[in-house]
Amino acid sequence: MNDIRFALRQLAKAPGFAVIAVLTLALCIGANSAIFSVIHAILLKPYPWPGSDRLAYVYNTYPKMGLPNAGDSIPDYLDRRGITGVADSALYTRVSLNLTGDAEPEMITGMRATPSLFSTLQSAAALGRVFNEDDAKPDAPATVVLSHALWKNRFASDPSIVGRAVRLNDRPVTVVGVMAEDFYFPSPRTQAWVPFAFTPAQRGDNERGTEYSQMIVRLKPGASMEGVQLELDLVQARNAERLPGSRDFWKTSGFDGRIAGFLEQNVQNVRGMLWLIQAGVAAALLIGCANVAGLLLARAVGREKELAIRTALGASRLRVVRMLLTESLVLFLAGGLLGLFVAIWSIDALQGVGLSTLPRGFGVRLDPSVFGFTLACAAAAGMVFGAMPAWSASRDNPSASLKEAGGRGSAGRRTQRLRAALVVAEIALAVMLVATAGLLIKSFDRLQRVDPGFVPAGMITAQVALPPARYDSPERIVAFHDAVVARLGSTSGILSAGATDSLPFSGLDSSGSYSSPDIVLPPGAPEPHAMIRSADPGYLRALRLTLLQGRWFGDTDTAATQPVVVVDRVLVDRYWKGQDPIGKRIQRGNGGKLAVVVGVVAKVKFRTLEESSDKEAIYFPLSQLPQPMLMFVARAQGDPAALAASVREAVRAVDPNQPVFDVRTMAQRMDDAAQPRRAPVILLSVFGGLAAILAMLGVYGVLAYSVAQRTSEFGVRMALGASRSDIAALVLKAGLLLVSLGIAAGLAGYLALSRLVQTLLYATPSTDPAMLASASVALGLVALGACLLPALRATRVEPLAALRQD
Amino acid sequence: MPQPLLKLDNVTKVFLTDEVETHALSGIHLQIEKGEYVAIAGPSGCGKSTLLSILGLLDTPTDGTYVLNERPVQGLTPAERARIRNREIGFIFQSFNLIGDLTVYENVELPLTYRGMPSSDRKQRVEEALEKVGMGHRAKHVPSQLSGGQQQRVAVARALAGQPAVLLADEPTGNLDSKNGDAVMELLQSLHRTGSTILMVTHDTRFARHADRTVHLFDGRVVEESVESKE
Ligand SMILES: Nc1ncnc2c1ncn2[C@@H]1O[C@H](COP(=O)(O)OP(=O)(O)O)[C@@H](O)[C@H]1O
Ligand SMILES: [Mg+2]
Repeated sequence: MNDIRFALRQLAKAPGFAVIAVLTLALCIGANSAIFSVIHAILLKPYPWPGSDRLAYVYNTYPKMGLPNAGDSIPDYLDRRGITGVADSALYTRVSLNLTGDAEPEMITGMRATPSLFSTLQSAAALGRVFNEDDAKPDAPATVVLSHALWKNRFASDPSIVGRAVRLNDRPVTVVGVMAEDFYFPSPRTQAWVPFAFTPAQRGDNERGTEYSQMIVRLKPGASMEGVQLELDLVQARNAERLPGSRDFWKTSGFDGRIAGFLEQNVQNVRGMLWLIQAGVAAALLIGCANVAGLLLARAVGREKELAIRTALGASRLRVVRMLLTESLVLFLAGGLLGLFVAIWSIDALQGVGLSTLPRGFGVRLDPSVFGFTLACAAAAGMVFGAMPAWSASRDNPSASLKEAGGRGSAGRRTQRLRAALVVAEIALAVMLVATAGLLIKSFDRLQRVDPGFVPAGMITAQVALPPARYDSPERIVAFHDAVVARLGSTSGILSAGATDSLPFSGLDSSGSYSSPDIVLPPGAPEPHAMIRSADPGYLRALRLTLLQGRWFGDTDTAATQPVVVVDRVLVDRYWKGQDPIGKRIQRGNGGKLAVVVGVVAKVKFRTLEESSDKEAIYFPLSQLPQPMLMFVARAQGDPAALAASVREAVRAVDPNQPVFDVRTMAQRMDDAAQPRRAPVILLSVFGGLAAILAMLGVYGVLAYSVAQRTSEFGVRMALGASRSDIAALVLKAGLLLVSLGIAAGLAGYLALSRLVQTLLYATPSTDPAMLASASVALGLVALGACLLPALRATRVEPLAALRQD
Repeated sequence: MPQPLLKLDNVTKVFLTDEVETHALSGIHLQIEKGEYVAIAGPSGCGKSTLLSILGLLDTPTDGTYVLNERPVQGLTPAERARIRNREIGFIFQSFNLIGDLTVYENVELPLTYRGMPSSDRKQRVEEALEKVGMGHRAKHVPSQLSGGQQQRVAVARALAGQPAVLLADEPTGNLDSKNGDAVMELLQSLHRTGSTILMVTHDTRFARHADRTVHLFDGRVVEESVESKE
């Protein structure tokens, strides 16, 4: 207690020191807690379903066809459900549900799932019940399970909802249950689940290859992923035996079933980036601790005499250490407390830079256990960094310190060397962070300049999902499409309008096999497989795709005329290099009508700007291959966002019961797609800047302290004829030595880690010499800037006053 | 008639601290000829160090004139004053004031470095100076490895190395025991015999007797000048 009171009094006597120390620690501890909360929420925290670490995806893979990751078909699911290592399993697929009734029609995100989903997740309903197997019989009455959020927002948490009917896709559907508030699957965006019923035909072998669903499994206790993988291989071998017709295709495409941990698979794209950021922030924490340790060291040296007197008066070394430790602990704890606020604020700020677009990035909040952990780390750092100067200060024998007639004691020199080493480390870490951040910025910038194959600016886009109950024939879909596009085309402010079933950066895209009498496959080559897209005549102009050859679709291409397709350059380069592609023939799958190639377009980036997939694409006229899921696209004369209402209006005029959703400009879509890359760039830049500031404070601290310690030396030098510039040069030289050592160490450290950084960069070498040089120069300037003030102060030393000190 | 090496005319020094005026020096007249050995004596606080600081261009008088080597020093820039300190004046301090991070050799070399002298010339001068004070064998030591008396001898060598016009010593024996003190006094005396001009502050009349002449200060004024009778 006594120690704490004394510590507080000592800190109050040096408010500048206390404020800098506490702020430094608060920033570092806060940032660490915030980032670790993100890591925890995304990478480490189990899902809300019991035993979620035993959940895994099982999916199809065609590695030799450039399709490592496909969905599962119903017969695949039925085969794999029986694997002995699998305790339970479920098949699910996304459905759009058009919720109508008393209120405004609303598009809700639903999942069609086998009833076994809930047993696989070991989750029960909060109200009513989950599905049972009877609900999934083909002729069972329609049922739905609501998410807690939908129940609360749309049905005002009405407990009598269970057993009542709601209108989904224009059919009455009975609500059988409401899930608990903390339940979600697969993401909190899912608002309702409907049963996945299989018809006898869907169970048959003909459905293999129809892979629009996902499968999850729960492993039996004791079962391993490797074991299940072996069983999957076996199932596949047996199928190949049984189905000789598919055998060749399976062989050439490398087809098999794969298992991957549920969490692992979901976060694989962000894992590296997040850990890199965590490393950056941890480095910043280290820098901060080093700074505070430096400050504590300086104080301990300043108090050498006081400590010597205490020791001379009989205080044990332990007592002296304890006294100093108490002081540093008080500092670190105050920093930790303030850091709590920094952390809460940082997480808010992170949401602003797109945290929620990361997988599992919803629901990140400051985790008390995470904060506790960080605080404990800080306290431990406080002990270590506090003990260092305390030990160092108490080690000297008191008689030496007492005899010291001013000037610098040996302890002073030793701690000064330690501080210098810390500052070198700080500069090194800052160089590493700044170089990494600079390269990420450069890479991000390069990426933003990549040509997506269309002109993103000035486009508004909107989605509709036509319910099969009302749009039960291709003619109806085409009629709806034609009416909406006609309306859009005559809306003022719209230059051109079109529609497609798979828009770039919308998440909608589909692929399938195709064949052609004009393609000669080399023996052993996989069967052709392409992205399959439907588009209308206006699509080319609305997106400003690049037509390389031939023509795009016109109004004359209808269901009744010659089937046509437009292919992309990738397909031509793959199979018809040096030939004229126009007039070649293509068919979807292995049967069906042959379509004639009428045009060639340039490749379009679909999911991200960095995607380098060399998968070919085939465009079908929407009139010949209509799809119920439609994306309307309009190119605006002015601000595309201003057209959102016109687009909704055009759809409402054609079908008032048809909800429009996902109305966004193309720029917004691409922005969202860039978020997972932008967020880390912003974060690392912030931490790089923070590290630079901390390094600057560190350099300043060391030099300012050293100038204070050397005042009388400077006085002597001046008495001997040193000019003021000689003195300034002396200080700057000491600073320059620290800075250049730090930069050299930083570059060495960076080069050691550059391979890791490389994995995060797009078309930018991680050892880009210009960037490394700029980072070094920038930090060098910042750090030398920090030397200027102490150097200036040194020149102000009055030789007489300095000499009088003794 | 040859001009004196140092000449103070009616020099006054007033310190102003917290609105309290301290008249450290009042109307000092003082002339020192080349080759003289002068002691300045007086009780603590009488202005001895202040006088020496003004003579050494570490401080400026509030009033009066100071001519050093036929050159008035008022109105010189700090850089010019630094140059004069470096070339004309050698300081010896009570607490030695060697720089702890530098070796004996480097300490002695320091004033020559500020003069921009080539290193071969410096080496010769430093070795000469160290030989003169009998510390040639300790050139590579650092000050903390030396006794107080040895440190002061190195400080004397440092003052000598630049071959200044005058050596200013402020209580050079104040931090030494009597045996080491005697040794340093003998050193100064031998320097005087080989032609050095020395101005030494002391409150010990025993040491003052080594000088040709003693100026007694009291309360910032010269109260008495006495010339030692040489036996
Ligand atoms: N920088 C200063 N500010 C104020 N007073 C000073 C300063 N330097 C010296 N003095 C005062 O001037 C007087 C003479 O001091 P000093 O020359 O150091 O005496 P001595 O060396 O003879 O002991 C003393 O009263 C001292 O307090
Ligand atoms: Mg004095």
